[in-house]
Amino acid sequence: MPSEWKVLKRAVESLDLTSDEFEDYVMVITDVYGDAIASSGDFEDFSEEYYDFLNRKVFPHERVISTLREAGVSEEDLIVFQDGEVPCDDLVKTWNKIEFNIDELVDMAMMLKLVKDYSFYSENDMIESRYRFQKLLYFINKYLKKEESYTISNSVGGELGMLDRTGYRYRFTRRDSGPYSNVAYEDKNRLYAWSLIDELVVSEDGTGEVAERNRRYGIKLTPRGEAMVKRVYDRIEESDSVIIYSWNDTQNKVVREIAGMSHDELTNMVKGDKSLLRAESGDELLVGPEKKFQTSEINFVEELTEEIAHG
Amino acid sequence: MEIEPKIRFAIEHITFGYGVHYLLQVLLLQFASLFLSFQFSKDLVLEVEKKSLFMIVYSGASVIFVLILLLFVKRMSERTLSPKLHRKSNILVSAAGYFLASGVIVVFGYVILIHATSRGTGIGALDYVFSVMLTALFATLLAVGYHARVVDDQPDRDRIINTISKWEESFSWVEYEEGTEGRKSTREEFGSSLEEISDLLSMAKTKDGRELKDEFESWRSSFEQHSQLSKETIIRGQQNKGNERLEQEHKQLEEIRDQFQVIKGS
Amino acid sequence: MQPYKKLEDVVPHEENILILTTSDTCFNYDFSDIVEEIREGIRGDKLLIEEYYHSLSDLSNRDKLIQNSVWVIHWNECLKDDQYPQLGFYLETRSYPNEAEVIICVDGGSATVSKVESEYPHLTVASSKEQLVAYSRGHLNTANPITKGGRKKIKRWNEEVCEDLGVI
Repeated sequence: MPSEWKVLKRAVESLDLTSDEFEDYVMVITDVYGDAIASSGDFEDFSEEYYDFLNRKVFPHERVISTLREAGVSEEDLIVFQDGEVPCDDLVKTWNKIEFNIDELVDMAMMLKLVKDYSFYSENDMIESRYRFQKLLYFINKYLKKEESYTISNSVGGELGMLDRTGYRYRFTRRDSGPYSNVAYEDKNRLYAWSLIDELVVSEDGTGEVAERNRRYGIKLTPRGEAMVKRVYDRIEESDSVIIYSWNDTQNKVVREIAGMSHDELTNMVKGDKSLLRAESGDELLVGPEKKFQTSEINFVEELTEEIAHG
Repeated sequence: MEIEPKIRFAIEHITFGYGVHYLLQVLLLQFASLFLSFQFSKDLVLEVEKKSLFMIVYSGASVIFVLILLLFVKRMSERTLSPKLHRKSNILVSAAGYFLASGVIVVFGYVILIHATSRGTGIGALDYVFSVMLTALFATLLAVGYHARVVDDQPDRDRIINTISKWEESFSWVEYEEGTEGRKSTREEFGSSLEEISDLLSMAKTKDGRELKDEFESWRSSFEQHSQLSKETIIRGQQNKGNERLEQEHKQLEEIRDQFQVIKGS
Repeated sequence: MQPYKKLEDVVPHEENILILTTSDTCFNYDFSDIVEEIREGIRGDKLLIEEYYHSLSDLSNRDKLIQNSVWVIHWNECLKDDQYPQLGFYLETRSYPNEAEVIICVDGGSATVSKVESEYPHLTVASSKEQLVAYSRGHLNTANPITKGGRKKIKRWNEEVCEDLGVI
């Protein structure tokens, strides 16, 4: 979990300091923190050990206490600092409740559904590689681009077809392995970090994909991921939103088309992609829509937020 | 520049960074040959009938000796790692230096062999041309002798050019996309060519060459501590106002590269 | 960027601070002076700091951006009027490394600062030079190779970025 040091800042957020007092506190505590790190930063991880270090060496430091006292912090609140009993863990959990925007949430929900649907068709009950995962996402967006957007009123679609309004928001560029999106890779990592998907080493032969050069990773839902998909699956399948319907329909088509392909067949399909043939390494190949939904358009936002934000 | 370094640099036009005793050795040999010829020749001022023919022969020989001298001096200059000694003007200074050193022998010979014996009577234009030829010959002998003594342990020209060219080419790693094979391989080449440049410069004998080595090593040790992003910034330079510390290192690099270009001769 | 294979490879380490600005100044100070102040507060001699100015016309070059562990963004010049939609997109989609610290500098009153804080709840907002320096030092002294925890953190960050760049 990044930015653990921010617990220093969060520790006084409930104390009602003025902005000047807050600034004085921040300057003092980061300085005390630096000294403490240099002299006795003996922690190895950033959980219990680290919080214990802060409560021993930083929060009770006399400079910190006197700054807070000068700011008029009550003795009752000060005692928490003096005794080194700042509830770091709770403070971290509170702010770590990440709020995702609606488009990110839907992308991750559709990604989970992709893993679920693909696994159904796959012999191995999983997406067989990170390479295949990236290419599935690419071809879903690519096929959406080919779809005419006549169903959308006042559409400005044009060349982008349905991709102007729906599909994954990812930007694909050309890599040695073909189309690849960094953000898709990060979203997949998030799902993994939240234990919604699992990545298993399935082969010692890499695919040439980014982060898959020496080993091949299969992607499947965890029981927790299964449970989550179950809650939104039908909502997506039966959505009366045209843009969700169109996206889901295209995704299902691509899944059925690619699930039966061997790795070589998929590689040939990728190599035959016209945009790829015209592009140089690093060139942009396909850009997904930046903003797709209003909260009111998706009737399962709450479930998604609940599931993912507390992941 | 202080006086002493100036003198040292002037001497290096002849010694190319090696000990002056090599030069003295060859000079003393020439003196010895001069004294031997004094011992065994009875009449040193030859009487010739076809003076114009001899004039042409001496002149022609002088030109040939000067050309050989220039060739050898150029070869020695090109094998040093001193950018200054690679300049054409400095090559001419080197040749003149050899000429001067040999001129001392000829003047000395004139004084003891001719002036002392005939008091300078009967010396004509032909004798002057002969003296010039003799000076050119001695200068050439000196340069060839010096070349033979000192150049063997210097990096050869091909190695100098190839090492510098390889380093220059490897700068292209910054042009490749992240994560590509091209970037990885050229970056590795860049790393190994830094090592090769260091090895090359460790063979520097001249004051300038050693200064270039110190300059390069100081730049390199700082450069290698940087992140790859900063390394790229140092190599590329910055268009607008940017990180002044890295810009300083970029300028140092450009100066070093300019000096290598002079050494490489492009 | 090259991957650190072992924990020991992390020492010494250089971190880059990404500066996104059009004026090269913030809170009436040159960014180079602010970075110098940050540098002075770094403990030990195992962490080097260099600022990296990235052209705002080249924001699509994300590979360069993610190699910086601290992003300092001048809100008034870059985000206030959505001057650079791509930058806004990166922030909305959290397209920066998990282990990176993004600090948005807001030159304005408390109402503006609160507005920006609510717009970017997952990012750090600095409303003065002192705060910017303190937050940067907070992050950099945490990811400082003088401690084993710091070395592990740097290695984790390095792995994350290298994976993203496709070098491992």
